[in-house]
Formats: sequence, C-alpha cells, structure tokens
Amino acid sequence: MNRSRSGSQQGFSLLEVIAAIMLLAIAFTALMKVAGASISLTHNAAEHSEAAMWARSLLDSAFVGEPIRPGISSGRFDSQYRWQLDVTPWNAPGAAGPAAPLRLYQLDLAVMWGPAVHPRSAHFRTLRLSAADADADNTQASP
Amino acid sequence: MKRVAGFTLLEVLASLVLLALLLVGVYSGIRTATHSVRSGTAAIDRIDQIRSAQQFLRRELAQSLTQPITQTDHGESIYFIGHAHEMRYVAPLPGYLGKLGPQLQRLQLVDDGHGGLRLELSLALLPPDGESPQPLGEPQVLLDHLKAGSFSYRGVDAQGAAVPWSETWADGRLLPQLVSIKLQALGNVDWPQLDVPLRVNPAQTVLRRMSLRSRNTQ
Repeated sequence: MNRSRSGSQQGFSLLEVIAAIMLLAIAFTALMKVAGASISLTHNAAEHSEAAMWARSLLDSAFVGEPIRPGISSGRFDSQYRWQLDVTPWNAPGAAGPAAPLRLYQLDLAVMWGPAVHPRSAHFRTLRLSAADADADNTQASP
Repeated sequence: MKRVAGFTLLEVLASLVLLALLLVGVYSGIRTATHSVRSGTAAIDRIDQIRSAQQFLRRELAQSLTQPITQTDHGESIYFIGHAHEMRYVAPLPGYLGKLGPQLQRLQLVDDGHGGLRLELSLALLPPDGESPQPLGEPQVLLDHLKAGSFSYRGVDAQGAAVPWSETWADGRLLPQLVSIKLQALGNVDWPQLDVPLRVNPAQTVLRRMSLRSRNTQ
C-alpha cells in the first residue's frame, strides 16, 4: 500500500505506448512483405512449370515428319507465352563431315512471358538427329 | 497525499483507438495472407495434377505398340483408334506389372455431370488369342474440372502422304506420328497443349503389315 502510494510508481507515457505500437506495426509490415514475396515466388515457379510443359511439347513435336531447317523461328503458344526456336548444326569436336548420312542439330528454345519490355524467360536445349530420308530422332532434354 | 501519476482518460482512449486501428490492420493482413497461401497451394496442387497427367500420357502414348485392337472387315488389324473425344491405343505397363502384358488403353473425355468434362483412362487386357478385350476395373480419372477439350492427330497415310492435323485418325491400320491433346481447364491454371510423338515408326507398321499379308497368302 505504502509503495503504491509513493511517487515511485510510474506508468507508460502515451509516447511510449505509441512507440511500442509503431514498432509492432513495422515488424508486422516486414512479416507481410516476406509472405508477399513467397507468394510471388510461388507464382513464378508455377509460370516456369507451365513454360516447361509448353517447351517439352514443342521440342518433342518439332520436325517430326519433316526435314530439319536450320534457322530461327518464333511464335506464340497462347496469349501469355511466346517462343523462339533456334536450330543450328551441332558442331562438336570430332563431328561427322557434311557427307555423313546422319547429322546432329541443336535446338535452342527460349520461352518468354510477361511484359514485352522485361520479359521473363526460360531456356531449353535439345539435340535432334536428322537424316536425309529416314526420320529417326533422338531427344535428350537438358534444361 | 501524493497524486499517483497515471494516464488521463483521454490518453487511454487515444491509445485504445490506435491499438484498435492497428489490430484491424493486422487482422486483415493475416486474413489476406491466409487466403493467398490457400489459393497458392491450390494452384500448385493443380499444376502438379496437370504435370503428372501430362507425364503419364506422354510416357504411355510414346510407348504405344502395334498390337491389333480389332480387325477391319477385310481382316486387317486396327492398331489405333482416334476421335476428338476418345482415343484407343495399346501400350505396355511398367515392368513390375509386366505379367499383365500390353494393355488396351482408352482415353476419353466424358461429361462430369456439372457442365464440365473430365479425362478418364480405362485399361483392358488384350487376350493373346484375339478375343475381345477384358476391362480391368473402373475407368480412372486423370484430370477433372475441364471446360472443353479435344484430341487431334497427324501423321502419314498408307501411301506415304502427310495427313495434316485432324480430329479423327482415319486409318487405324497405321499409328499417327503425333498426338495432340488440347484441354481448357476451369480455374486459373491452364493445361499447356500436350504434343506426343509416337515412337513406333509408322513405316515399320507398313512393313509388318506387308509381311503379315505375304505370310497369309502363302
């Protein structure tokens, strides 16, 4: 009783309370930022998965039943995803000469999405075996 | 008597209002976060479903075999039946199930009763003596919640001429070179178009058919 009535009992001042609340608000904002970042990462991963599925289909079906044409081609998968395919002869050391019946071609595929100015993109590469008449193909995807 | 220094009523009210505002902010923030976590999890689940279905279909279709499913009126074997909403092919199952032999797989887009479609797979045993296939269990749902969809096929015909993409595969005596599955999913995760090259060379089918025919004529 005596102590409580002595002048030594001090409560918080309003300023201190406001400061504590501010601290809480700042900490909570930081927490929300982290949550938001993880959500956008999830979104990003989902977009990459979808791009990979589009790319797999395109690389699998490219040049089936038709001769390989080296060069660059491009197009759209849907309203969101665009692609660009770059076909070059595979000139590894010790490669077969130009008269060889089978030749390896390298298919470089870039899948782009998002805004046109700074698109997000994913790159895929595969090797394709092409012959003059028979259309044997060999696909080995390497992301 | 000394006065105890405490808050005035005004101060208490002011801090309570501040705290209440802050709590409202915190609550709505947590609710938004929970909501977006839930929708993110749902999206990931859906994309996992789609990817698994695509991988399964790619594997099975790519391995499809030239095993006769039925026969035409002229006694020629049918290896592949393809329509816009139904596809039948023969593919082996993984090795640990290998004693069941190659399976007739039927892929179908059926109405799910809620105005949408679902992709169903049914398996059937192909008896070696050429009897009609025996179904193995109930059809299994590969993917549901679809708005629309169709299968299409491309390849070469018996004369070696290219057949452009079409929704029916006319000549079941040959396998198509490419099978494409286009689906429109409900919700905000899309089904990327699935194109599968069939590994069996159609030319081999022709050769095998010719050798079978010559064996028949002998």
